[in-house]
Amino acid sequence: MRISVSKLDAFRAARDGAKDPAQFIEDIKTPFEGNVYTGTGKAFHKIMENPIQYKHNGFYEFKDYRFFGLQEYIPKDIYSPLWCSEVKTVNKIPELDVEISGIADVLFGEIVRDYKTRWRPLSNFNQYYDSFQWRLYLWMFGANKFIYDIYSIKKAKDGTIDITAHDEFECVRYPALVFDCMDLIEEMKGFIIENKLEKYMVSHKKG
Amino acid sequence: MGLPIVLGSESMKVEFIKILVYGQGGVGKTSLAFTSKTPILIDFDQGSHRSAFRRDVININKWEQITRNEKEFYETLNGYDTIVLDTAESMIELWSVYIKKKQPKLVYDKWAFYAELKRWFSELLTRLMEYGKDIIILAHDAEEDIGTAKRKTPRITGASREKVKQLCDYVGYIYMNDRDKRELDFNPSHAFWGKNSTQMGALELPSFHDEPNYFEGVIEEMKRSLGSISASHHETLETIETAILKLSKLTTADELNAMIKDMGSVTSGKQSIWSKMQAKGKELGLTFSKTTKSFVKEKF
Repeated sequence: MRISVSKLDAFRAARDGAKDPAQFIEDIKTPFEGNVYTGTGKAFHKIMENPIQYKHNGFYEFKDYRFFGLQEYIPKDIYSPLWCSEVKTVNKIPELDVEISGIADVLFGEIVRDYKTRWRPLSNFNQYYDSFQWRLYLWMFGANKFIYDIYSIKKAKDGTIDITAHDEFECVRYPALVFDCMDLIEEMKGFIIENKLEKYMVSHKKG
Repeated sequence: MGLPIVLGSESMKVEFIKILVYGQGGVGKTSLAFTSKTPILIDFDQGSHRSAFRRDVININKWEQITRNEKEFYETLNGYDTIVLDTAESMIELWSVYIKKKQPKLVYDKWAFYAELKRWFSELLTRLMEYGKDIIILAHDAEEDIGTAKRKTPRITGASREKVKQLCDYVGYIYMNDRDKRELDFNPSHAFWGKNSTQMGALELPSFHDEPNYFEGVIEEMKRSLGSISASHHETLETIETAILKLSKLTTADELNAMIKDMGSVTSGKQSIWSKMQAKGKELGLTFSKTTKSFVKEKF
């Protein structure tokens, strides 16, 4: 059985009452086609893989998505040759007969970074702090620090996108982290079997 | 030619840190802070007299006390190693009264007030950090909903709470444990917010009569551990750099495949190196065969 990090975190949200469990099951069964919001996020991620390639005079552009105000928020180490973008990993847990797959936006030494774009201003970090994404990636990459790079964005009248704010939120490894991850994985495996969803848990496209 | 790494692999000395400690009133937050290295406690709560371990204190009951004597206030802090803000919410309250007197429109415009609060609070913390002192921020606890459960969180107004969580190296909750001892825990849990930059276990606090410099020792240990984590990160970067240098000289599939064998002895940075090896394979027109576990020439 292969479970992606994003599915594990969606399960966590359903388990904790932040998401409807029936909707979670439906999401597992139905491949997500994407929408205008995910399109913007994908374009943003593509640009952050190699900003120079998409840089124009005063803005960054990928396909039809044009971002203004990004320059000042580009992470300082992004052009280091040691900066690795879109790093895939699959961790096997033989005891549970499960594989966990994920793709980190950035791996830089022992630091994992993840870019988030959001259309609403950030009021608190709870949704990131509560997430298991950072816990799972710290375990999977043997990293010590996970940084959320949170970009608040707004659509301008001409259809271009303005970066209105940038927040960095840092999550760090703690002693019980691996146990928390294993508990969640075991719990989700049980849920998958109970709801006969095994056939949907065989491959992944994005972590 | 070497790659342009700015970072060194030597152990980085962490000079000062920022800690948030929160918990119920009377649990011992202030007393704990008094056991740090040469502390000056800025008492916005008028409660430091309750601590049996009291050290030097500046009592502030109006924000104007600071604004009218700003230079003197900041100069005073220079003589100490640790600045303690007790408590964050009382400090914000005093500032709020002051700023609303100064800018009456903020009384009616909640959003403008919060924006100003966030700006001021960030500026204050940045200014204190510039002094190169350890900063301990104390706060009472509050409860927040997480799904159907409740979690303890620092009682600090809105945006400034997020700023503290963002800036502090450690966020710890202090409470009475089931042995009726005070415990300070920096680890995140379902029950409370935490941030633990060096994987410290929960600390059962001793009697401060027996250990009057207790928190000074804890903070020294935090700094040492932060330094060694930083050194480990730099060592990983060096390992990756060495691999990248090696990759830059490879021209054939055989050479790249020989490097796969070497990966067994790599202890850190493995995934980064593997991602660079895949990029190199692509550059050489190779694909990785999962069957043979080696790079092979792409078929057209």
